[in-house]
Amino acid sequence: MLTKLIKQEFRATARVMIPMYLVMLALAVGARFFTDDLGDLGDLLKALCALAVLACILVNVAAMILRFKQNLLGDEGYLMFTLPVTVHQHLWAKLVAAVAWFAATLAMSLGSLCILADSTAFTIGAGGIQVGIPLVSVHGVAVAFPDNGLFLLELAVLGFVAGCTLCLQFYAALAAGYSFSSHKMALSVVWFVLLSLATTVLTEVMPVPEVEFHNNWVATLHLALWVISGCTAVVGAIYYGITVYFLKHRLNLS
Amino acid sequence: MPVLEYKEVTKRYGGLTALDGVSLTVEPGRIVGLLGPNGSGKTTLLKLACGLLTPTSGEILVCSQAPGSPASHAQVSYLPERMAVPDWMTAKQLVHFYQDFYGDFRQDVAWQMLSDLNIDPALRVREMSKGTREKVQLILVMSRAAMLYLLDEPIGGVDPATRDYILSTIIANYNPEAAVVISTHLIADVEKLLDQVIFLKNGQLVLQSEVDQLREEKGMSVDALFREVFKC
Amino acid sequence: MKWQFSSDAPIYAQLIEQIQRTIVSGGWPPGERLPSVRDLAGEAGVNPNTMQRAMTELEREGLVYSQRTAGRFVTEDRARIEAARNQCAQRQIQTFLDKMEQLGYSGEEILRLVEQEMKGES
Repeated sequence: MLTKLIKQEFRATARVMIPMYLVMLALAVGARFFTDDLGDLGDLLKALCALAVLACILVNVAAMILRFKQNLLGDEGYLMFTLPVTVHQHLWAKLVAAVAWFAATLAMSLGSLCILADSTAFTIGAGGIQVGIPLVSVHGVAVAFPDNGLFLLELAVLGFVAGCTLCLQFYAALAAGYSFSSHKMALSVVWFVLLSLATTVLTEVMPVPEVEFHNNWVATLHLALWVISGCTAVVGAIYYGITVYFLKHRLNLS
Repeated sequence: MPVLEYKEVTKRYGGLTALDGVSLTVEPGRIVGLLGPNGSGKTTLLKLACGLLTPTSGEILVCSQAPGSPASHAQVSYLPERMAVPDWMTAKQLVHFYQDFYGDFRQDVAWQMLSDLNIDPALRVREMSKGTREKVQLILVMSRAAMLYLLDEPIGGVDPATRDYILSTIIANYNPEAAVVISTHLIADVEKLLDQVIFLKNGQLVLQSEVDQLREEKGMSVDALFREVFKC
Repeated sequence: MKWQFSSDAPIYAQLIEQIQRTIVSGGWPPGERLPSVRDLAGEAGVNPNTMQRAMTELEREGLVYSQRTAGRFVTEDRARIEAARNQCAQRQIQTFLDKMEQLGYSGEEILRLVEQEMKGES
């Protein structure tokens, strides 16, 4: 059932995301090749395009939150919540799709920025990527990162956990706000603020393991990444619990 | 064993009481009409049985299970009073969607009904007329071989010819193990179809009775009785 | 067969009456196999339970009988059908007489009117 839900989730969200990627690419290609003769104006246009590309990341986050609200808490919820699936399956389908799109958007933004950058800026802007790619692919750099496979895995885990937690904070706030009979949206905002405050307090008092600086800075980096992932996962798990509670025991579709 | 059971169910929205201590049971093999004026609690009653609302107090059992569990959803086919299917999907995609999720979905029945009602499977919900949307949603719901059908205003927005087709579909689908609950205010149209009627007024159960018994005792149709009970 | 329902009498009673009328008028000849309850219910647009109830009542009266596997048939007992036909006729006449009485006619007047009407027709 989970795979079927995920399939449906991708089918529904692709309708928004794929056109957005196409616009992004078209914008980047257009700005790269048709503004060269415009001088300062061309640079301005390029800067605006770069901003637009970055804005796509925000649009992506907004789309995922709207999708949750519309598909589960709006009219479509009448269909979704009468399917023979669990609340956990609903949530995981949403999270998997959202994080996959985040990753794709990130990749697309970087790609677009590379295209956008002109010859000089390109070398600087894409320099990071040109350095970054060999870091993981060329064996020569592996002297600096003896186990870059593990490093990549850690980044992927952190990315997944952080993406889920970001979504879950919005999901929890919406699920809680929409469990009331009226003022659903306003109460969702209140819940979001409360969750943010509670999380700040929590991270203050959470017994975060001290990462001591070793002489071996690679080991320190690995440890730090796992600690950050772990702490984020704890916060995410709390949001998850709140979301499940409200969707399962306090559902009140209007 | 009842298919659907409400025990002292109360539902309040803020200060408003939508259902007030309703107790009733629906036995298998029955076609039950849920009748009442607008705002009498019909939709709330059905939504509670699907787990879309949480009761303020009381208990509901659907096929001996708590509403809202995947096991109960697998046995209940619910037609909401609004459009709940995504409007970007085509009728064909929706048939496959239902086939994917419901083990009791009968695809052949769905295709047959779509063709009987001249609905193009390639049409998106968004592109359909209001009546066609309602038909598609009802076809999906009736194509399941469920234990309990909960139909909220199934014939409200369709023309009389389609209404007849839909009502005969409900009879053709009749299964002595299953039960059907139909909420409507078009009583005259469904009266012949019903075993039982339930009258709701201001969130309270006014009457639950066999249709023929009512006609015999009162010497009038349920429609006429309804007009008398709910006289403004 | 065409089904029509009035709003005041119980549906099952109306079903019994209409099936009886079809049988005695030869619409369904003796020994004829009847459609299934579900098909009949669909045709009449009534609840299958109600149709079942009507059939059970007709079986009790002996107008139809069911064979476990083959289905349900009109009785082959012509005397039984004839009796039912007479019953129908008597009911019709009784209704007619009641109405004439309400209009204030005596028995003799009614007879004369009926005779006149019959002659006029032929």
